[in-house]
Amino acid sequence: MKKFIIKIMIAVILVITSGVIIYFSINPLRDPNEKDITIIVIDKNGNEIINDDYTVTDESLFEIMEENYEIEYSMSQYGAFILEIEDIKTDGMTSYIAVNINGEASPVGISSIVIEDGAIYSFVETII
Amino acid sequence: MTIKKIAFLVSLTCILFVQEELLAFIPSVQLTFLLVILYGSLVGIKDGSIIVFVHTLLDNLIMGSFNIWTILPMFLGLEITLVIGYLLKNKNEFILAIGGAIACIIYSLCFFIINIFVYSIKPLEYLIADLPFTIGLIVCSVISILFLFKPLYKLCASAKDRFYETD
Repeated sequence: MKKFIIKIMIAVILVITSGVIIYFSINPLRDPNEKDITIIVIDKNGNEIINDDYTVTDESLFEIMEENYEIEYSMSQYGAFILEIEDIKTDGMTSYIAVNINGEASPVGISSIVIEDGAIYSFVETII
Repeated sequence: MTIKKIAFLVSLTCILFVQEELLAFIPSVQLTFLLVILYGSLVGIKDGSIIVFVHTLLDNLIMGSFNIWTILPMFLGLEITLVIGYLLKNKNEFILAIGGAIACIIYSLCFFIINIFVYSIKPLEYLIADLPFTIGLIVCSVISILFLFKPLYKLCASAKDRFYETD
């Protein structure tokens, strides 16, 4: 009987411990400042040429773009204005790169965009 | 090898194979390590190896993973489990359970080595991804050995006495 109780105790301890380990290995403790975002770049033909996921902390969207992609931009009093991302090149006059947040046009320029957890930021080559 | 002995080994192989396929839908939940350790204690390494070999081939055929880089680590891992069962026969179930846990770790390491050197998967990423499954395997094996080894051993030993005749 004593042996059976020891077996039960070992089984319970094993199940609880392994459950905790498995839970935290699948869902590791997250930094509260961490945010998951998706960056999509779409060319003028509607083809998705970039679709990347990032986990970021304090960076701005502009910093993330600068760190991870080849971009060209001009600066104005409103902040940065992206003209080129990788193979997409615009002149800002006949074409430009529109910035959308979760499918909606961004109300502010890329330099002022505050990163939100779970947001999808898409850069769409747009012909005027 | 007598017909009775062959029939007994076939029965053991069937039990091993069928339980694995029946429980295949729940990740890491199986009685394979319990049974292989039991077979190691019961029929020894030589006859146990035949069971393990047939089981490995059949399992990989059914699961669609019939290639050398899956068969090899699986066979190697189960062979080591068999040897552990053989070496620990007549020991109490607590020691057998520890042996079972070690066997599970060695089994996972066999796949780890193949994945690192053959498929060039990053070691740390593989270990992290495999950790929950290895832990599940260990827990399931330890609990099944603790509670089922002795009754199963008694059952199989009495069956062995009736059907298993040494040459």
